[in-house]
Amino acid sequence: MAVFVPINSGAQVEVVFVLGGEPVENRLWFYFDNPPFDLTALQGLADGVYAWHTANILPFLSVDLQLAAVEAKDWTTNPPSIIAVAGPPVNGGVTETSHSANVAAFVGFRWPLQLARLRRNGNFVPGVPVGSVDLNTPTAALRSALFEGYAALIDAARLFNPVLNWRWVVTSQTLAGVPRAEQLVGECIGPVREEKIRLGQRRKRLPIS
Amino acid sequence: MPFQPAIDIATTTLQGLVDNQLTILDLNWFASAGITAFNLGTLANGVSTWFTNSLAPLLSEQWSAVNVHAVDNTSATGPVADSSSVQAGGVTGEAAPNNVAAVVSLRTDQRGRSGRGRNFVPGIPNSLITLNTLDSGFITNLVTAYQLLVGAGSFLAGWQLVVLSRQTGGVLRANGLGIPVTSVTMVTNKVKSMRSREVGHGA
Repeated sequence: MAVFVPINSGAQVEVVFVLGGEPVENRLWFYFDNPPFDLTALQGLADGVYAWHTANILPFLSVDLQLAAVEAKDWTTNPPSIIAVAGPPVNGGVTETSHSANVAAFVGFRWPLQLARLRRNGNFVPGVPVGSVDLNTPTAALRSALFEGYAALIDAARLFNPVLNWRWVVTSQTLAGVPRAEQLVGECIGPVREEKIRLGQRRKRLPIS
Repeated sequence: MPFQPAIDIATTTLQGLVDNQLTILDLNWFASAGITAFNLGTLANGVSTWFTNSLAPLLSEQWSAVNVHAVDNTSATGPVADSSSVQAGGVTGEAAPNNVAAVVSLRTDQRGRSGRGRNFVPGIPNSLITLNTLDSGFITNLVTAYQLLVGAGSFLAGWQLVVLSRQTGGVLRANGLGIPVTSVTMVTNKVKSMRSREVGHGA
């Protein structure tokens, strides 16, 4: 089992989907400027990410994909002392079938410049509509939508309740292969540029057979 | 890894292209009367005909067969043969991304991993996939195509499709062992993944 590496005054947000009957998730990390945070603040984070995703990312994904819930966890202790969940379930906005679950659009997240050589964080975005891929290449429209959507999270996070407290961050949990005592965090400066958004593989998202 | 002989066993490598990425399907064959340069050429031509006439028509037009390369595994200096197999897939419309594959299982009368082989078939038409599920007609046609290869001398006189086992108990065998394929099946109607076929990975 993986070693728990805390972020003091940080939270992990899981955006949990269902695709083809299988659970799929994307993870994001956030830092709270004025610790400690309480359940109200964590609920503000979960609600904020839910609102951001359903407005900025989900509309460009297949109707076959259902965002089941957004769950925010206090990542200072294991198990988390407080957890907040936001919903209700909502489906993707493109009325077109999805590519199979092992096909995803990979969006890398950029570290701040002083930490630029650390391992890249990113999301393998599921539920890519068939029409949004030309053979192996995401269409320009999808790449643009994902770039703009994730870029919007930088500002949106600052307005999550309580305002001017949450920041979207990228993290590093290991150093030279050894777990750190505490995750190194850096404020995310956005997704990689559009032409770097590509298809990636998530084999384990397929149904077991 | 040093060369490992497999006496009287030939490997055919069915080469195709999709989005400028090489796709490979390997099939192994036992020669009942030994391997010569001549009968290896006959094998390459026979497999090439099957590749273009039986398999390619089931796949997307964005994929194409290119070549069949056959090698004699009896010795490191055995003969090789090639047969051009230029044929685009027969199904109009876009193919699924390169890592998406249909897995055909080659079964023998022997249990265990050594007794099973697989082919990850590329170039599946998007129109024949619903989310993760392959069209039932496509599955039937694919299994039917592979069944043409099964049997001693029934596909091509003197040749039998085999699973080539190179290890037992995690240790290399002195010689590769060919185990006759007795049936072909698809274990699942779900798509599978082959990462090395993604653009930017592998060949």
